[in-house]
Amino acid sequence: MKNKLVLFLLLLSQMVSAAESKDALAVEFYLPGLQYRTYQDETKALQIRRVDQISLQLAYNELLLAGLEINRYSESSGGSSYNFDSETTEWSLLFGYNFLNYKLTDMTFNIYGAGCFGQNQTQIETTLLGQSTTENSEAQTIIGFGIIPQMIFHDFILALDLRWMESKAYSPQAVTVVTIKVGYSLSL
Amino acid sequence: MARTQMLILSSLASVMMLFLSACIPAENSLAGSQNIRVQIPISDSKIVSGTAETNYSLKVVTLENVYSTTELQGQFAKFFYAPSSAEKGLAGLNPLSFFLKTAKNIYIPRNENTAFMATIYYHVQNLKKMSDLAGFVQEEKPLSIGLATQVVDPTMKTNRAFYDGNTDSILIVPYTKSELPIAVNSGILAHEYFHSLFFKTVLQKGLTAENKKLSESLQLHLSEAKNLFEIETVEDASMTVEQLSTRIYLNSLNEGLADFWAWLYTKDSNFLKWSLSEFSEDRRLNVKPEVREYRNFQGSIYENGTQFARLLKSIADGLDNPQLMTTVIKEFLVQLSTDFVELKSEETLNTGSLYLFLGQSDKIKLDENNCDLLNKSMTKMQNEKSYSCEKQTDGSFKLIKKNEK
Repeated sequence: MKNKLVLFLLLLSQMVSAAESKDALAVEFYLPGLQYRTYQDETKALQIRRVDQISLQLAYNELLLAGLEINRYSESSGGSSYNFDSETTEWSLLFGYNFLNYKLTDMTFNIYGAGCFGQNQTQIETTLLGQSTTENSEAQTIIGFGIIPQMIFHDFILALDLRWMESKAYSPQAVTVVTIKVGYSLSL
Repeated sequence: MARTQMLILSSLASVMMLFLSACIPAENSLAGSQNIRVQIPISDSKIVSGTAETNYSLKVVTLENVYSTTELQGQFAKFFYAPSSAEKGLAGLNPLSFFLKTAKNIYIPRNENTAFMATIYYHVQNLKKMSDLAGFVQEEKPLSIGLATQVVDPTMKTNRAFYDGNTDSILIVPYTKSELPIAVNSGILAHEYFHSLFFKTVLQKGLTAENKKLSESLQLHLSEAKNLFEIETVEDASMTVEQLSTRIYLNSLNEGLADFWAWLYTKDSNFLKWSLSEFSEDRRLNVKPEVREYRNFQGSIYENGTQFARLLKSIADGLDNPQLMTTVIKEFLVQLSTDFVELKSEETLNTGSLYLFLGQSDKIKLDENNCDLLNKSMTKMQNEKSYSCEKQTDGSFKLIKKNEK
């Protein structure tokens, strides 16, 4: 295991040296992303949930990435006089490192290795025979890692964020997150 | 360049730390068994102007000895999703449960199924304690509960719950109405739980060679085909008139006593109205019992049962401690079991046995009205006027055989 880790680090350092340094800072603005999460339902079948996502990122030399993301998703059950509506709000900080950089005329392809951590909190409204109560969850830590392949063309960015996240929560325990993001890179 | 390298190294370190920490298992299973506080819908009955009024509201209760909160199970219940029947019980997936935990350590169900599981667990836990107090002896194992059970019979496919003796489980089928789901109706759950007591105390013991066919016909037949429960009532042409009568009486008792048990547990005399309102008027227990004819037809088991339940409630209403009736019911089932085991094929059970038992029980003190009601009901049933109500030294009344006076 240790050997594999050393090899992995060596490989990364080689790719790092290949990355081009522009010594520039850029702010990346993204339109609300299309985020999908897969999780297990009570029947242990994989389900996909659509999540509203916004994010803002800072890129340094196309090498390092730091960002803030906010995700929201809601669930509801219905059909009888006993219903649930829950809404989860989640913020997380993103750190990324570009380990593959390839330029083709006006296009740049990057693959960032990324990690994130943050918190999520859920508010649930339970309705029983017309009466309703609202409860909030305690703040729960989320943590995750993944890769972000992206393509930059005339400062327009198309990114695919693949992430595995785990919430120190009570449900769901672990999710696979896929986000398709479109944004613009403004050089400072 | 040195600054860039520092940045590279620190970012690498942070990515690796995140990578490694993401592999830490989540805090999803409890250490050993624990008591957890959950918020679930609970019925609450209060006496308002002399009549009991029931309401459902969300309350925080304690689930005892829970092993896991991700697949809710513990000492009292374990759950199966769309189960099939196996040789020794239910088979299938244990459904996942999803909770939100508040800062005050209260677990709130995040979906319907989790709420069903938490609510059923709570009631099974209480009903087990109630039956233990009454003196029922049961195996110390979690009761199997089937959720979203798939049933072949179109009349049982939705909006039903039943107890199956073969797998010793309570099975709940999907609920499609806009009322309170059966899985959170405490009265219906108590009703089904009583069927398990009746099965284990009476029917199972009656599975002798003599009574085998009859006993089997008293329970739902379940096929083991695929994931679907096939339910059919066995109509055996070879059964004698006496056996059929016994079956109708036992079924009537099973239903009536189960309704009464549900009232003892919830004090809700109209517990069906929340989930199955179409049956509530015929089976509500807040009706003064009358002397009614016992009907010896398979289709009349609920009608007969409701008459038994209303009479039992009327007796319980006259007691200082209505819960005493749990012990009375237990003693009656033990006697019924003996009568059933000893029954010969050409004989039928005495359809007045419940009335006689109640009329002669030392545990309950009958007032004159209830004693008279028992006597008249028995007389109407058997066309025999051999008992009368006699006042006892403590002022209560008992059924005494006339020639014993």
